[in-house]
Amino acid sequence: MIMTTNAIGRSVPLFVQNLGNFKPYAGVFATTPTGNHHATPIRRSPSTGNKLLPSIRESILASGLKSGMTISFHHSFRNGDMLVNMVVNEIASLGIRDITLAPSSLQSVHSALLPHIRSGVISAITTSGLRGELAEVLTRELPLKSPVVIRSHGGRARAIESGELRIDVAFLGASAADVYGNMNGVHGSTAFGSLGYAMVDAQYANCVVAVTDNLVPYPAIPISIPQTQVDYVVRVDKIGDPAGIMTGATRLTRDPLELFIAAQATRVIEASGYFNEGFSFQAGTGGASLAVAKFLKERMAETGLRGGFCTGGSTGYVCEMLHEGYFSAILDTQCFDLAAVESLRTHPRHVEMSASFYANPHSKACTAHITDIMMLGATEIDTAYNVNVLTGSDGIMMGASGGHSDTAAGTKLRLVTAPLIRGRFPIVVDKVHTVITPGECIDVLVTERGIAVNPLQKALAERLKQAGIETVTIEELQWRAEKLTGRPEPLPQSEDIVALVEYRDGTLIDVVRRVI
Amino acid sequence: MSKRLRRSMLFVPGNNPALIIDAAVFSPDSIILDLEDAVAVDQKDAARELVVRALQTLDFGNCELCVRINGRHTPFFADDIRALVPARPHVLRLAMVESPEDIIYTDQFIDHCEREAGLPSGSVKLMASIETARGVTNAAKIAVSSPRLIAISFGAEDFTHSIQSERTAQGQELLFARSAVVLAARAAGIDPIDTVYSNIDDEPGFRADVKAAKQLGFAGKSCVHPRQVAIVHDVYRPTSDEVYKAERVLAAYADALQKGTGVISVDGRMVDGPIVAKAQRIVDIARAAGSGRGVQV
Amino acid sequence: MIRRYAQAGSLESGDALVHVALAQDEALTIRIKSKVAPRFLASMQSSVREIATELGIMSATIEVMDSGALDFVLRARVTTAIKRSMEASVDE
Repeated sequence: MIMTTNAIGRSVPLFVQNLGNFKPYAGVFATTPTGNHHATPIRRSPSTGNKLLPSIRESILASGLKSGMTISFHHSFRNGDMLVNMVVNEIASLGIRDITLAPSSLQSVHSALLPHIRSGVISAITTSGLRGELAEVLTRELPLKSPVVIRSHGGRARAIESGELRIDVAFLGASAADVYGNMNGVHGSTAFGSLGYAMVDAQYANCVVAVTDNLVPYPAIPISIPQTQVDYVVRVDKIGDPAGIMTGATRLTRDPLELFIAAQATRVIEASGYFNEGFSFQAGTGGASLAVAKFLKERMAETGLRGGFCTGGSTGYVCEMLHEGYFSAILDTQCFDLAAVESLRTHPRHVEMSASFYANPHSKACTAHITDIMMLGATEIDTAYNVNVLTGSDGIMMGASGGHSDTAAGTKLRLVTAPLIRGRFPIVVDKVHTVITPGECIDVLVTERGIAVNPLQKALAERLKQAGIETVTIEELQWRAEKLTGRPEPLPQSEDIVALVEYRDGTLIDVVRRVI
Repeated sequence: MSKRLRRSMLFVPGNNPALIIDAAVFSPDSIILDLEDAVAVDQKDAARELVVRALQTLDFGNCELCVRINGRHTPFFADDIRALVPARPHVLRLAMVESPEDIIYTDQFIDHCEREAGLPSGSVKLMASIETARGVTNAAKIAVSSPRLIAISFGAEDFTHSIQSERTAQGQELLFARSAVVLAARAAGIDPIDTVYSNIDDEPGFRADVKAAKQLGFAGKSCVHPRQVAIVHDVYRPTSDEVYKAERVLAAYADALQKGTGVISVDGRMVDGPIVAKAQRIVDIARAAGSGRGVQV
Repeated sequence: MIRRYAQAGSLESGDALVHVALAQDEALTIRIKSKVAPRFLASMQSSVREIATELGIMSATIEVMDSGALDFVLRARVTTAIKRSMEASVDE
C-alpha cells in the first residue's frame, strides 16, 4: 500500500483495494467542493393502491437489491435497534452477498452481524462508530474485503449528497408511518425523536424503504420524511427495543469529580468572551459535559443572560432550559432521552434538523459552523491537542467519530472535558492512537487536575489569565498524570489497516491498525 | 505570621484507593485518611498499608494530611502509629479522647516512634476528637495536654449518645458541648473543628450548620463528601467589606514599614501585630477562594 | 513463608484483588488479569515480584485481578495479602 504523510503527520494510504483513491488530510477547510449533488431515479407516484408491502423480504425483492450493492440505515434506535439485523438476515437468506453496509452508526447490538460478515454477505462497512464485540473483531481481524471507512456525521452527509457514497437501498425505521411513506420518530411506542440521520438517506438513496411497527392513518404528522422520497413501506411487529433506545431522562451526574470538572469548565466559559447574550451552545450528553449546562443555567439565572439556539443532540435537561426560556430554540439531530422526544413532539421551537443541516461542510450552511460554545469528550488527547474518540487505550474501536470533528471545525469555543486519568490511563498522551479531530480545532482541555489552553489561542489564554483561572501546558498535565500512573507500554499492533478515518471533507486524517 | 487554615477537613475512607487518589482535587484544607470508623475490623491491616503507601507516594498539594487512627484501647492503635509515623503524616487524629492521659500516652508513643524513625521530635502533630460527656468536661485540660496538639474536634453523634439524648435539627443538646470545645481550643491557642453533617443531599441544611459553627467560633468543619468542602469555603469566605478593610490594613502596614513609622493607624484605630496577621489571613482566604479552589459547586 | 491462602483488596475501580496461595511447585508464579492490560502488565509483574522478594517469599502463587490500580495501590494490596498468608491461621 502506498502511503503518504498528511498535514498532521499521520501516515495514510493513497489507494486502497476495493475502495479506490484517497487524498490525505490537508487542513480543516482545505477542500473546496465542486460538482453537483447526486441525482436519484425519477419514479411514478402510485395511482392505485399504496406502497405497503407485506414483509421486509418483499421490500428487498421489490427494491431490486443485488449482490454488490450498498444499503443504509439510521442509528436513532441506538442499542435497541432491531432493523439492521432483521434486514441483513433476510438479505442473507435470499442469497444476496457482497453488500456494503452504510449505516450512520453501529452499536454493540449489531454484533449479531458477525456471522454475515464472516460469510461474505457483508463485505464492506462504512459507519461513524463501532462498539462491542463487532468493534473488537473488526479491530483484531480483517474479515471484510476492505478496511472499515469511518466518517463523521457531516462527512457522511457530504459523501451521500455528492454521490461519493451511493446508497442503493435505504431501510429507514420510523416509530410512526403511513401507507404512503410519510414518517416520523416522535409518535409510537418505539419513539426515538429526531430522524435527523435518516433525512439525507431518504433524499439521496436510489430506493427508500420505510419500516415501522406503527402504521398510522394517512397522513402521518409530523412529516419528518415525506412520501415523495419513499418507495415502499413495511410494517413489522417490533422495530426496536424501547429499553435499548433510550432512558426516560438523562440524569445529571452526582459524581463529585465530574461536577468539579464541570464547575471548572463553567469558569472557563464565563471568562472566554463567548458567554454573551444570545450565545449558542452544544451541550454534552452526560457526565461533566452535561453538568456544565446546569452550572451555566445557574449563572444565567443570576445574571439574566439568555442564550440563543442549542444544537446537536438533545437531552431532557437542555429541553427544560428551552422551555424555561434560557435558550430560544433547539436544532436537533438526535434525541437522547424520552423527555427530549416529548419536547420535540410538543414544543414549537424544538425542531428537527438533518445531519447535513447540522454538520455537512459542503452544504450551503451547517450549524456546526455557526455555534458559539461546545462541549467535547475525548478518549485521548495528545500534546498537539489532537483528539481521539474512536479507539480506547487498548487500541480497540469503541466509540464514534460522530459530530466531533464537524463541530470542532466551525464552533468558536471548543472545550474538551475529561478526567485526567481513566482507569489507569492518562488522557494526555504523546500521540493519540487515532486522530478524529485535529489539534487546531481544540481550544481548551479541562480536567480535575488542571486546565490547558491550546497555544494557538493566545487571546483566550490571556482572557482566562485575567479572570484568575490558572492554566498549565498540556505537557504539564501529561506529566501530572504520568506521575500517578507511570508511562503505559506501547500498544502492540500490526501493519494491517483495519479502518480508514475520513475527515469531514473526505480526505484521510488517520487509520486504525490491527491490534494484536 | 501565617497559620494553616483548617476550614474544611475532608474524611476519606482509608481502604478506598479511588477516593484517596482524588481527595486533593477538591482542595480541602485538610484530608483525614480514616483508619477508624470507615474501615471494617478485618481490613484494618489493608487500610493501614494503603494509607502508608499513599502518604509516601502521592502529592496532596497544599492539603494538610491527617490520619484518624484507631482508639487507644483497640488492638490496632500501636500498629497504626508505628506504621504511620515514618510515613510522616502531618497530624494523627485520635478519636474518643476523654482525658489528658489519652493524649499524653499517645504523645509519648509517637515520640518513641519518631526516635526510632530518626525523625525530629514533634514532627507529627496530634488532633483530639472529643465525643463524650467526659471528654467535654475535660476539654480545657485536654487542649493544653501536649505541644503536639494542634486542634480538637467535636463529634456530635457519640456525644449525644453519651448524654442520653437525641439529635435535633436545632441542636440545643449540642450547644454547651460545642461551645466548651471552642472555648477550650481558643484558650489554648489551637483550632476547634465542628462535627460532621451526614446528610450530604441537604445542602441548605449543611450550609446553615456551617454558618452556626462559624458563629460559635469554630475554625472549621469536618466534611464527609467533597461537595461539602466548597460550601464550607464559601461560608468561611470573608465578605468584600472585610476584604476591603483588610487590604487597607495591609497597605497601611506596608507603608509604615517603608517609612519606618512606629505606630500604624487605620480609620483612627491602632493597628498592631495581631490585627495585621488577621488582615493577612483574610486576604489569603479571599485569594484562595477567588482562585477557584473552593468555588461553590 | 506462605502458610495459607489469603487475599486482599477488592474489585472496585482503582483497586486490585490479590490472591496469595501456596505454590504447587517451588516457584513464584504471578498471574495478572487486568481490565487495563496489556499496557501496564510488565510493570505490574515487576512490582508484584519486588514486593514478594522484599518479604522473603520465593515460592507462592499470586493472582491479581486488577481494576486500574495505581502502582502503590497494587503494592499495598500484595503486601497485605502476603502478610496475611504468612500469619498463623486461627486454629493453628
